[in-house]
Amino acid sequence: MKKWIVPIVIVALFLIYAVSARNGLVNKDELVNESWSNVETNYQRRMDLIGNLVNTVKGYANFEQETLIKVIDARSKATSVNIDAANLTPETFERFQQAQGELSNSLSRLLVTIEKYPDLKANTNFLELQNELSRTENRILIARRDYNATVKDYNISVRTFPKNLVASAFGFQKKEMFKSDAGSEKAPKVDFSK
Amino acid sequence: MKRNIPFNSVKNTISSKRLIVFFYVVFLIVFQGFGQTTKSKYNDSDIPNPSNPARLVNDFANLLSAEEAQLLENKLVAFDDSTSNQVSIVTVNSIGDYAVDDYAIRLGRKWGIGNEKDNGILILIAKDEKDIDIEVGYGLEGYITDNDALRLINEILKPAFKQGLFYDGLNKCSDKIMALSLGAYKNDKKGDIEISPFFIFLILIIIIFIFISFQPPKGGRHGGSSYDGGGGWINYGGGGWNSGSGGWSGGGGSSGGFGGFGGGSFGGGGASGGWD
Repeated sequence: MKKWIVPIVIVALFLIYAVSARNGLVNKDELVNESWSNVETNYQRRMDLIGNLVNTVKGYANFEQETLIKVIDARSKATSVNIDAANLTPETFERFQQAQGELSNSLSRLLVTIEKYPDLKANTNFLELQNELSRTENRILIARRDYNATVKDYNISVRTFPKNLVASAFGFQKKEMFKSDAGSEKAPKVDFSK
Repeated sequence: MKRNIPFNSVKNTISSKRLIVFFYVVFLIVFQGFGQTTKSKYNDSDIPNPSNPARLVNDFANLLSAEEAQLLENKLVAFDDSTSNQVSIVTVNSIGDYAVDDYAIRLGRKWGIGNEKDNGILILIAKDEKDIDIEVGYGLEGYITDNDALRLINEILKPAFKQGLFYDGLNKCSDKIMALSLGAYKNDKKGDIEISPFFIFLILIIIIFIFISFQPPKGGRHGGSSYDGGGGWINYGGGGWNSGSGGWSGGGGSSGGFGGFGGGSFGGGGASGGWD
């Protein structure tokens, strides 16, 4: 009589555990998606601001065209690389980071060039753009940090025993994190006041 | 054959109830051990801790007189009480190697300025570096834009600080911030306090239910004894809950003071500048 109760209890406990573990994973997966969309929103915001910056700078007579064109090119390239959170493979992730990195580089070159135009630097419109841009760099940095923290949490769940059994049964896979390129722990300085 | 005999006898002495308890305990341990996540939120050790008891105005660099700090504190606590927006003013002697915005974000997140709507604002003043930073929590970015914050610094704080009028600048600046963020949220804290102890209680009841429903349908004697065990659980849980609510009312008793930071977060919005 009592023999069958033990296996049933074991199976029931395992099922309860599996269900709750799966729900936990779904939850963490959602958090990763959310933090990823935050990362994308902020990159998008930067893209828009760069568009505004280019327009402001364009209005200045004899501004060096070469640096400007490089920014415009890098921007349109970065715009074309958009990834869905569900589709974060190492390759697409790499491509995204690379496109945004190129844009960062060309942007900082543009900002160095602007140093040579004192009346542009004093323009209120430009000063506000500069502030928004530097704040958006902060936002990106934080969004990336938060994204990495949620992915780390998720990855730990996916890879540690016994949740990894549940994770592999339901197809939860390890996710990519941002690798910090040298110096990216601090937001790039967009500052002309000194 | 020889092996089977002791095995069977052991099996017979362990009642199924005990087995269930055993598995239940194992189950709990597994849940506890693997369910907990290592939360590595920003806990930077070189960022100062909030004063105890928590205050909205923390003048570590002594730029304000005690009365001035108290005036600002009273104003900001009243604003927190009515809108739940937490405007905090922090002055420090030095921010070391940090960029002022980085330092401010870390401090704001560490302290948890703002309530659950992430509606905190931090005004950070670094005395030695002569740096100002305003951080705006996620929930208020729509009300105080980066450029609003920039204007607050350039048009109010900088001119005042250059003349050494710290109270004046901070007073005007906080007035402006309050005006800008006034319509954002209302304080509806009271509803939330009850939830967490109740939730714990509910979970306890569910666990007890699971516990009871796993009893073998036969053997009323066993069921009875385990029900006693269940009673113990309820008492234990209830005691914890009661003492918890006692703690809350104790906190509320000191009315008029600041209730503490609400765990708000910052996304990087705001502005910074120097007053040199």
